[in-house]
Amino acid sequence: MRAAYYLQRSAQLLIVVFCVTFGCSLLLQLIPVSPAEILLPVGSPEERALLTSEIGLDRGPIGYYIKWLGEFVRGDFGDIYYSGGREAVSSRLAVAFPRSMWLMIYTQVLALAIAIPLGVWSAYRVGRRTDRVISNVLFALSSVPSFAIALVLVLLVGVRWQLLPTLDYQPYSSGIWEHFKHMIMPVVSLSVGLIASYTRLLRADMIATLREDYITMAASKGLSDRRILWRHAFRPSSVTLFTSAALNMGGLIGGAIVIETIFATYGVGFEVFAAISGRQYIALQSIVGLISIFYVLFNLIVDVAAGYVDPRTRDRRINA
Amino acid sequence: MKHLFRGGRRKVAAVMAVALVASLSQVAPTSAAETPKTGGTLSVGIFDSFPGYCMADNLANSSLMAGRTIYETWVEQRVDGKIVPYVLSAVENSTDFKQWKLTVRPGVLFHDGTPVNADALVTNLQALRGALTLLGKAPSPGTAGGFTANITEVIKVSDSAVQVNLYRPQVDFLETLYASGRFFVRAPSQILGGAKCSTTPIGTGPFKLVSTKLNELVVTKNASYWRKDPSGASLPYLDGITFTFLVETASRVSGLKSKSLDIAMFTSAGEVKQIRDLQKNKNMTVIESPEEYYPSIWLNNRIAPFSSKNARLAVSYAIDRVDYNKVRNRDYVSAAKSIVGPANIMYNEKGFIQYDLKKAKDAAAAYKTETGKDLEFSFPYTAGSTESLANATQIQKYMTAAGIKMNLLPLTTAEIIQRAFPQQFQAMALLLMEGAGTAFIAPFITSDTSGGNQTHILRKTPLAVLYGILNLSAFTDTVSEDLIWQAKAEPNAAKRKALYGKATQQIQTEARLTTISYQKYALAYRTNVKGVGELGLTQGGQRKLMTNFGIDFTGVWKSGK
Repeated sequence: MRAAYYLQRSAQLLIVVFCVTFGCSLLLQLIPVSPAEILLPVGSPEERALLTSEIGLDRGPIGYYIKWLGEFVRGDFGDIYYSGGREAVSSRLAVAFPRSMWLMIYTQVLALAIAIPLGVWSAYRVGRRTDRVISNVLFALSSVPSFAIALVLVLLVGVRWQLLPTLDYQPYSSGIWEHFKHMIMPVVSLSVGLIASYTRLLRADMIATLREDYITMAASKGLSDRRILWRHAFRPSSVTLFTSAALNMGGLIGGAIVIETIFATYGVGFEVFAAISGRQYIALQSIVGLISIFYVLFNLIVDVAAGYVDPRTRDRRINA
Repeated sequence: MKHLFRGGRRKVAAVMAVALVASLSQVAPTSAAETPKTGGTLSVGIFDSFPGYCMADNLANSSLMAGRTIYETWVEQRVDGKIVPYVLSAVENSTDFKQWKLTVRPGVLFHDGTPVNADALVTNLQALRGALTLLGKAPSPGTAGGFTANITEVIKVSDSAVQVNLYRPQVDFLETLYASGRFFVRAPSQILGGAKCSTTPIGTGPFKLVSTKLNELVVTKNASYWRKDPSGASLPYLDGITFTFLVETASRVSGLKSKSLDIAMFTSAGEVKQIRDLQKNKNMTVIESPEEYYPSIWLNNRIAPFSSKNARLAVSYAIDRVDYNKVRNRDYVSAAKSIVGPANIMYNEKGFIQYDLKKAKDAAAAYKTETGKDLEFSFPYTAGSTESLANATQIQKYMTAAGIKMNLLPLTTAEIIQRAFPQQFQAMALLLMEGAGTAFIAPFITSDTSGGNQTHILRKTPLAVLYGILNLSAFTDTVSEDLIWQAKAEPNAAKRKALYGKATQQIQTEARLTTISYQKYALAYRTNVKGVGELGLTQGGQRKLMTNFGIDFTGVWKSGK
């Protein structure tokens, strides 16, 4: 039964990936001029004809998609076309992807590490001054866009106090401190909004959970508040939080363009922007396909994890 | 009171003295007392991305500065505007200026270890003019095919010399060979390297490629670089440079102030506030280029409404250049009085249409009488760029005042460029023309850069479009075109200037295009950056300290850690 459920979920997710990538490939067919003309604006008619055939644009929408998909699953994400040659999209992504992954992971870790205790504490102290202070501060923070936080950080931490570099990304190979030094401000900028939203989500779920009969039972049995909060209330209250976190993971990989631009970390978001502004449609299709895979993958992971965190969720879904 | 007045004068004198010293230090910074130090790396923030390095990949402004650390040019421009041999060692011309013998400097190596010789020069010139493209050996020359269309033959005459034959006499052929710093000395292995031409730059410059992406170029010292400093020490001094594309001005400014960057480049187009802010910062030196860059409003003479002179006149009269310059440029640069600036040989105020609202309305009314339609046109701007939108909106305001309807067209930069060069827009703003000479002016205001050569190699090919593709106003004006070719053939400098001036007057009178204000560039660097503008050229004289492609990094060094 469970295996069938997970297979069904996987199939659904594959359908999502198919719809996204096929939709993208159709967009290429809908462009009023030949994509080869766009990709090779100064190329000769022969070069364009060769490119059209090479990409598979002469095979019709379905034929083109099948060709693209076949190459995509083999790790060939197509090329970025220049006036004098080309470059594999995969080589660009090999640089950009780790940057976005680290940015996403650190952001999530920081956001969850702060939001979970805050949410639990806020729910525990619901209605009291601590809860009101936390709620109001978070409400204020959630209304500040990440780029504004980034600019304030740059101005204070980078320019005025000169504590951290304001630009560039450094890999681990440059030294762990160098790596983190360059990641702190982008991560904090992205985390603030997430901390606010995660805390509020968790707080709401925790408040509802703390009103459940089994919590009253646990308290009447003399269990400590800490044990009740963390062992009995937090687990079932965290499903919404982790679902939200999973959705944000996909978003952070491809959607942190503003922060990437401010701090010059240049990850996948910038590659999406570059593909759009440079009309590199093949590259765009592959990058969007890849991002959609991450979206559905993270959602699948959370679905599976949610079943273990709160088995009622899984059972409800299986029986539905 | 008298005392105060005297004191005031002293203060004024002191302030003026400080200002004079400060301004001189910005014009010609010097660290002559210090011995250049070898080693260290620099981080440079730029405002252009890297579209590639092949013939058709036009590196723009600040990314051109970065590209020029890898590449050099056959000739170089001195501060007085004269073009002198650089990777070439000598240039000779026939008395009719139709044959040019170019001799290559011995001992210069490309980064791949191959020598720069006559074969390399032939490969470069043939690639630029499209001859190798026709043979299927090299990628498209792009707009370079139009720039070099006056060349009819490139003949190797010895292992180190090449003769270039021209269709029309051209006194300033070396300006064409320089192309405002854009015609690089590329290794034949790059040009003929197929798919890697755009992504693997191989030049002769002081630095060589480490890695390149759309947003970044990392270069390292070329240990076998051919130039030495005046004391005989190896050049360059720096171990490496990282150029990072930072589209946000604020990122470049904060990068400098936080020491994440050592150098950053700016443009007067929308970044005046930041340039002025940096000029006040005691930890920075800010140098500026001359106002030798001339953004144009191109009016497409081939299609309605600007196929009508009345329409062109209406728009040209409607633009309040002084107001625009105050509002958009904060008076940092000059409002235009000619389609090119005073430093250019073609500068002529005669015939230039200045702001006159009444005449604008009259011309718009005349257009309606002529065509039965209200004057209306579309004008593209860069989507997502607040500066571009603000500039377009400001122009739209003037048009509205004159009763002209201007529709704003938000497009990506790529779309704008793609549609600009087949001349598909009714009107557009774009900076193309620059410099003191005409190599980067004439191709944009002539309809046939081959000079009417019916046997030119591209004539019967699809690449023939390149002859006129650079003229975004898409006009054919035989009067101005003849004057330009006559000027190019005229050895007497005064007569040449007069002929160019007449051509400018003709274009301005016909309102083929117009200009609102001129543009310049600025480069700010931290106090640990030394040697900027100090290294002279091999044949004597100095380069221009600062241009649209920034500075030369060959003699730059870094003090401290």
